[in-house]
Amino acid sequence: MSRISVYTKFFLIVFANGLLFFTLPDPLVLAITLYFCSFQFVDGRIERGWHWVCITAVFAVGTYLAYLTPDNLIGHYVLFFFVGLGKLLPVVVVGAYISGTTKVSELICTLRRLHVPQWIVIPLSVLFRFFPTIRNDYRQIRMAMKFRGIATTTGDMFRHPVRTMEFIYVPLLNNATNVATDLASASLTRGLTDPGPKTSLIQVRFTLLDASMCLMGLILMGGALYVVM
Amino acid sequence: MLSCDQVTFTYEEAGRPSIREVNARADRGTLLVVTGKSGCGKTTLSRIINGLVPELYEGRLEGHCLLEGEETTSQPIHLLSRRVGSVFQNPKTQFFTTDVRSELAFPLENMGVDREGIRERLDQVSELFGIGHLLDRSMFALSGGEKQTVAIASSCMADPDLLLLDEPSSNLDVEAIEALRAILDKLKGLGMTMVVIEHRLYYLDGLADDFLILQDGRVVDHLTPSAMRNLDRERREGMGVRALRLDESSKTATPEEEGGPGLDASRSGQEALLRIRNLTYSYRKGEEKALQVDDLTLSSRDITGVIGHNGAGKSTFANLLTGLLKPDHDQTRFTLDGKPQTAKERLADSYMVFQDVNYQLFCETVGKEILLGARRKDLFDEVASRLDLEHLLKRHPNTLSGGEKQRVAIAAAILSGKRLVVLDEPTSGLDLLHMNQVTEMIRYMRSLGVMVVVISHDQEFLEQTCQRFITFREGRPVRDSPELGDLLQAL
Amino acid sequence: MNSLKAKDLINIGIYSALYFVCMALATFLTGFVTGLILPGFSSLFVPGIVALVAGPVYMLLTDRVPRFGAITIMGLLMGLFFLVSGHFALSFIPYVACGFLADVLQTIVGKARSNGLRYLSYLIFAFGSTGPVMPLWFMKNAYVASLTRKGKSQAYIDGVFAHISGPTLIVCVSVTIVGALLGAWTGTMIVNRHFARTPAEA
Repeated sequence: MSRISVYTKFFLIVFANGLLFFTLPDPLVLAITLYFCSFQFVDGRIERGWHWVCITAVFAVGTYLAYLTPDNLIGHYVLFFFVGLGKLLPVVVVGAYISGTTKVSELICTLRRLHVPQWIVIPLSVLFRFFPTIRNDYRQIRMAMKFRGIATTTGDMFRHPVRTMEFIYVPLLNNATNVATDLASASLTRGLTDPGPKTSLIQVRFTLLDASMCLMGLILMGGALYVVM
Repeated sequence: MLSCDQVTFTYEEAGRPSIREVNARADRGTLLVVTGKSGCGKTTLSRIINGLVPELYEGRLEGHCLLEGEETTSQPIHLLSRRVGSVFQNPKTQFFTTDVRSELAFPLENMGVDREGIRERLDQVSELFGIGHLLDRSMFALSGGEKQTVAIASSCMADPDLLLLDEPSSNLDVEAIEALRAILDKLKGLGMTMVVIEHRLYYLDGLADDFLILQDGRVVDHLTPSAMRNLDRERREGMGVRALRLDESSKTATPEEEGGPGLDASRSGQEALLRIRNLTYSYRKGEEKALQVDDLTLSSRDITGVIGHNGAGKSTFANLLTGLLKPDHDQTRFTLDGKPQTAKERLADSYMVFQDVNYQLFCETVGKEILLGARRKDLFDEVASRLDLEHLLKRHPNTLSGGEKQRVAIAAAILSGKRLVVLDEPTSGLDLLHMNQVTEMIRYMRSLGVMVVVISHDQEFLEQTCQRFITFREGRPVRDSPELGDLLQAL
Repeated sequence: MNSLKAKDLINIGIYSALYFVCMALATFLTGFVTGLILPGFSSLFVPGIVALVAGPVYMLLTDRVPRFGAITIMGLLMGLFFLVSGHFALSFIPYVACGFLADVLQTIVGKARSNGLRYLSYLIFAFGSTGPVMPLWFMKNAYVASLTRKGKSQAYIDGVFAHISGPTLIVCVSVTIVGALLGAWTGTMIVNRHFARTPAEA
């Protein structure tokens, strides 16, 4: 389980996306991006942490050097690459952290506690539950197609796109329909439709660690606001 | 505990009832087995017991199904689900969450039990089922047997009065079935009342207190364990029921081999031989070898059964054999009748019938389906009549029953004209009649000169189908024998 | 939303997962092909390609859950996914809006199950995935800011974008429309041919 609660992660999303609306001095953006990277370390994902620190560094250096780029097409391309994509980097860092560390059960539990209605929570749980099945199904279908001698290579797949789509979709959707029925049986017989309040085994708590990380974020946010004002 | 009284049920839009005037009883602490051919109405009965009728399946119900005197179908399913735990046949599709702990907690979370209560019950149940070590694993990382154990554990979380299992063994291997038996034994010892819907009966010998046999929606027999054991073979097979004891089924193969080996030779011309030398395969470079075969020759005269534990290398072997995977190095030689074959050529010359044939049905009619990619179109009429598909040719494969779909997949394999056909667990979930059909279809393939390899865990089926048994252990073929013996020991 | 049963909600989750995979695939493909040439601009083609490949998923969902809510929820889930997966968070707004609109068309106006309305509702839904295009605007702003800092005049900057803004928008919209119509056609074809409802399902 992640050491950082989903609440803090929501805060990170708001923070990172808010950044997009403002133009801030480079050093401050760098500090904030590194702050986002630090969450990887807090959650013990040291290698990942360094990975994102390196990417951040590359963009920082790139943005800095980009001002020196010449006024031709290549220069503009490099400038756009670093400045444009660099702008989105904080959002990507946060996204990578959240999708890499959040367990589905934590997310669901948090949504429940926030009283998100069942008609969102149930489909969302199923969505996560179904991803691995899709990957497995796709592999099986490709194998079956190879034995039939249809679209055996990637090139073939694009040569008859509609036919390929049909061959992949028919078994895929077919299985999806079967799984839907089975999941419905399994969940109905385990009380999914109980109208009473639901509980959660796992606990999503806003800990001292969350508080201190958020505080750090708020300080950076304050700095950003000060600069903007 | 449970009593069904003159239960008749007709699905909405169905012309005739799926079950008629069924009477059944299960007393507290007993285990009732409901068996019969596919389509006999067993599953419909189970849906009435656990309330999926009318929640998920609507229709017209007559008669009464009472649990402790209360009508099952008239209470809301979330209340009934606290008293009736349900386990289904496919381990892959009956879990709702993504990790084991959440899956176990799921029923209690729905009921609104507080965290302490869930935790306590979770500890009890995981100890009872011996799954403490699995709690933090992803559901997807578990083997079929482990998934099924978790499914049973999860349905016991709410401490139900009755546990209903619908073909729990059909997708399990022989060891997982042993584990299942042990679990049922334990639950019985704790006084749990159980209803097991099953084709495969041997693992229930000694556990079951009653056998109810359905045919065409009606109860045709109600037997005690000793009567079931002594049921004469003809009568048992007439009702489409598999043997209660394995040794009984293995004495003689049921469907008589037609023509004998003489006919084989005349049809296929000659024996084809596939020789494999110096085969090694690892999933990642430098990792331990997943498979190593030094020298092995397969013949089209024998139907070869490949057996082994989960993860022993059977599937890897099949994937290499059919050219889906490429061996580690160039020293590997596959030679078919003396001619070397590359992975690509093997793929063009082989076919695999999957355990779940749904993945290999693509077309809108059965006729088109079996002709898709076919090289032996000349066999169309013969295969369609041999596999009893003539009346189905215009139907959409989606509308067929499981056994019919499998016949279509096998027909496609035969018409593909490929020389090697691998069947992966072709009998999972099949009743006696369909199992025998598969055996016949495989013999027919052999008579056409096709080399057939069967991966299976099904002792009854292996015994009656194969002439050669190769056991894999830790990625190597360790035993190669014309006799199967006891499957558990052969592993 | 209360007319949706548990089975409907499960169906919605499953089809949303499939739809999401189409989206991931489209993003990956376009990103791979055009990403290095025009960083960020690949997202202009994403809605069109998603619409092209996801037709059968959408059509089967509307067939299996022909009640109000299914499409809205699918749009909402796509939006939620943007929120947690490192996309621009407000990307979820077009999805929710388009999902709702498409849903109204499909289930309330389109009760007669006319093909035209179904195509139209799919077309509207397709514009939901324009969310990831929005960051282009931020990227442009960042770029403009850096040009300003480089000492370029406003006139120069306007000159650079005069050629880009208008045409890109037209390209994005027309690619999406073409993709959606083709997708709706293949989707309807596949569903009619293979998933036409059969009586007696058991």
